[in-house]
Amino acid sequence: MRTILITLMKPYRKFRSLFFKEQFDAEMADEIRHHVELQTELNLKAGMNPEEARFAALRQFGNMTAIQEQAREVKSWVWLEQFMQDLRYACRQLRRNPGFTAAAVAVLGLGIGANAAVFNFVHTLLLAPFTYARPAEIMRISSQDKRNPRDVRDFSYPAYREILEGNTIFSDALASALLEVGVGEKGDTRRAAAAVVSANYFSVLGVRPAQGRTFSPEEATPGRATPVALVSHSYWKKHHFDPALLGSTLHINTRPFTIIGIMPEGFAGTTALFYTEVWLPLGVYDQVANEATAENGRALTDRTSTALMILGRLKPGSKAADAGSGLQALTATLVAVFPVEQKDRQLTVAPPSRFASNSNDTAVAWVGALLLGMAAIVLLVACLNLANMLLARGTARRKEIALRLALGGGRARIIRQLLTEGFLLALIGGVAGLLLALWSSGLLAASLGRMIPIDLVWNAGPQPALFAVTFVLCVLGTLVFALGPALKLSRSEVMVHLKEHAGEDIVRRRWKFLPRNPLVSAQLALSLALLTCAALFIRSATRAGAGAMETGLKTDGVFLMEVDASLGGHSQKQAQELYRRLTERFGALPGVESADLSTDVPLSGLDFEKRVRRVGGAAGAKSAKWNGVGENYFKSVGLPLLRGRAFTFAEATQKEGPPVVIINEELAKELWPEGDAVGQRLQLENVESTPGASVQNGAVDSAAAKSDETYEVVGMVPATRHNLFESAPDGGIYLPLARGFKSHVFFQLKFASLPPESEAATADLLRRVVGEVDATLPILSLRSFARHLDGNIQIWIVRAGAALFSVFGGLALCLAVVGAYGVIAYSVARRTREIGIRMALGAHPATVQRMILREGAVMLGSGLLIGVVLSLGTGKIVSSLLYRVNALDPVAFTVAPGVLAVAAFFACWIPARRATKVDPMVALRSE
Amino acid sequence: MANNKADLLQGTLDLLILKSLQLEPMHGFGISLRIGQMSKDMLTVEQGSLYPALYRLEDQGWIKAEWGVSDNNRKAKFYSLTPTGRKQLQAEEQSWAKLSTAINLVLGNA
Repeated sequence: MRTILITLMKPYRKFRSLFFKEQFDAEMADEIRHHVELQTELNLKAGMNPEEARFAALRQFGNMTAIQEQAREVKSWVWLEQFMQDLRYACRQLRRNPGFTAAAVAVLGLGIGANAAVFNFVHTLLLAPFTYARPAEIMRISSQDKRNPRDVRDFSYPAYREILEGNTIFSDALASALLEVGVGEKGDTRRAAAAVVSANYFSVLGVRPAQGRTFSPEEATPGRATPVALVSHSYWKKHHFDPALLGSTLHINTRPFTIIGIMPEGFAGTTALFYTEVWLPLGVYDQVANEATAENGRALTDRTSTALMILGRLKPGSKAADAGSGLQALTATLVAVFPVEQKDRQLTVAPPSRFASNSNDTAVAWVGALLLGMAAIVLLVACLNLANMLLARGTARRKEIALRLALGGGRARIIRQLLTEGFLLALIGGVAGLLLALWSSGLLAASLGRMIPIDLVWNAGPQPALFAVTFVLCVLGTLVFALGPALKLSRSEVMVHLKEHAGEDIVRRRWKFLPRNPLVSAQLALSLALLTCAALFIRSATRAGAGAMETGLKTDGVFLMEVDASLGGHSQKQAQELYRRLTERFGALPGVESADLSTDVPLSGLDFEKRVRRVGGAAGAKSAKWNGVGENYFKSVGLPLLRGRAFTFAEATQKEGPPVVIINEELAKELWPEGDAVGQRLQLENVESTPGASVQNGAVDSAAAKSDETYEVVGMVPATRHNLFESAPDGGIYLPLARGFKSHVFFQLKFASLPPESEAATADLLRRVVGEVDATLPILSLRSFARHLDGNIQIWIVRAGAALFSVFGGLALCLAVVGAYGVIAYSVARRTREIGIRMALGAHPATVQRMILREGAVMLGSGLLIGVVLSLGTGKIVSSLLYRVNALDPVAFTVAPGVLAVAAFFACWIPARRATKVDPMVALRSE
Repeated sequence: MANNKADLLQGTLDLLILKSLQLEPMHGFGISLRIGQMSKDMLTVEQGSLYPALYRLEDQGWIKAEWGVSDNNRKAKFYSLTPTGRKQLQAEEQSWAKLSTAINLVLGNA
């Protein structure tokens, strides 16, 4: 115990002694004086005279100053004092060379800034904690198919009740369904993320409303339909913190709800990436959610429903790993109660996903890791560059360092001093980098916010983790760029460097065949790797930009309107009728060649999947993307029918006729590899679809198709591309709209010509037409197909990636060129005398230039060579993540080295030319 | 130092200081005299180097210092062993015994 106390006291005493230094010195002096006096007395007794006795005593004591110094070092934090000294000295040094300081801070600021910005991004995406209390205790419970572990489902309300009753693992569990709803008044509806939740939702998450109350168990009972809602802080903010918001009316899918509470700032619900804006009680689920799914929409109490995500809070002190036996018991209960729904299934618990309800987090983690790696390389290049600058400057400081060594300064002390200087630079650079990171994160967040209609949880502001990481980067950076030069410079040979021409570049190289400056080579190599990655990204972005061609559609002159009648309170039947009338009106507009609608368009970010089976075939079911389309769809989007025919008007609008389907070439090849698919029959089964990164409409499995029906294939079209990152197009099927209806649809209007400048007018025209037909229909987006592609999140990612890597690549290029130029110019400048002598002795300017260029070429060549090898490796990784770019993309692999080589050549050539312009006499007299 | 006095082995100074404080508190000069006495003047400590060692031991909590009055009525700093210091002394004595036995064995003197 005592030892612990002493250990704890120690730093305190040392710290104290910093401030009580004088008192300590005085006490020590007293003690030593006492000692010497006693020794003197002893010496007197031995018969010395007083003078002699005193000198002898002092001699016996030893070097008093050195001993006091040693004692002080034991007693206090001398290194801290020295550090302060070093810091003051470093400040003076940096002030004295403002040009050098500015350059170094700029280089470091960019390097550290790039890293901090990427960290901020990755942190938000992958690491930022959930916004509820004690997130580690919250687990998601799901039902997993024993044979197919990827088939994971949520629960119906009856199953939720069973789980609540039989549960032994959790202290409590909530149920929630995420929905996209239309919020606002008629004609001014916007989309928002809503959660329909159980009454204990807020208590399980450990969050209380900032104002008002949460739902009562009564309100959260299915079927009660009490129209009450809670809203997020951001919703309140959007209403300018209206004090009367509590108790006011909010329209959700045009139904009025009373706002009974406002959640605290920063609470995002159960997701980590976007904010839930509105919470509704389970009692209104059937009104709000099922409008979109209607027809076969299952009520919440339906046993086959899988609408409810269940999150439980583990009992205090228990872990998810301990849940095994409890889960087994619960599985048994559930299987007994729901023998059909839970057949061959088991319950599992796992931490909830950070993104949407079902997405997997690993792909995003990859991109994050890649970005971090790239940023790290930028910092490394920046550090190498700075190390070169420090070395070059250090050569000029050799004399000063030699003097300090000669006067008895310890080498360690000098290294420490040089490191302090570096650290100061790093800190200033770190502050610059932090500002840069905050600014660029803000830009990124704003640009992303324009893409996505929901509120993102994006903490672009300063946060402790960012500060910590920036500081660590500063320390690491210092070690990388300052340690090497410090070690090298402090190894000065005193006599050599104190002599007159100390600054001259007399390099005794042990390995003559190595480039003169390996750091510059390393820098060039890494820069090349970055440049190549940048080039690959840019290539990918240009290809994705030309992606309109590659969706497989001809979309020139196509205008797109996205609407969802369910958000306006229409039933599915009303919606179908409304859409039919709208199509007719659109088709009659002047300049419109054809008009139609579909439930999906390429690159919409939506994915609807079904499993398709060939009737009579032995092969298992294949998965295919489906799309419900009208009779004119293929004509409107310019998709040619390869075989067979399009749907007829009757097929597209009525469900009564014989079931027909059109498939794409890809699926035809999969199902009927031996021959013609048209005229064959197939069978559909519903599957749980995995939504992308966005909230789904709850409409995911609403297809009207019954799994036992067989369909006749009446046509075949080319495959289209729905996802930028897929390597080959998926199999796809087209259902007539009447059989594959969703209230969320896209209208396509094919104009004879659609100049970009007429876009706004066209949008106005369409809005007017919609207003005349039904003013309550919420228009979600209205733009040309080209603009739709521009707004695609995947294209955004590739473009943002290209922009980011262009910045990185550009940075790397600048740094490499500046570094090469600096080092060569510096070494030439130091050799002015040597060059003067050579020229005085008759050397031809061209010969001298060649000599310097040759040196540069070795450096350049070795750097580029290593760089190409590095690029091959990184290119392979990058291209695997990119859209249609080969790892050995010929353009990227010629442009990047070419640009770097040309730039580096000029960095060599300019100093070489300048060197030979020097008058030999001036050169000889220099210094 | 080529004389018949033994050089102090690195780290043994601590042991000697702790040992000399075993019986009673002492000031710095006293400690240096005691070490000479105990070793029959075979070991001498460079007097000055005693003090950094004393401060270090104090810092480690093995000895503590108090200002007092010496025999001839002068103000002096007295050092005494703390309980942990006593334990440390025991441990160091044991390990020294082991070491010297081992070295004697190697030298063939045992």
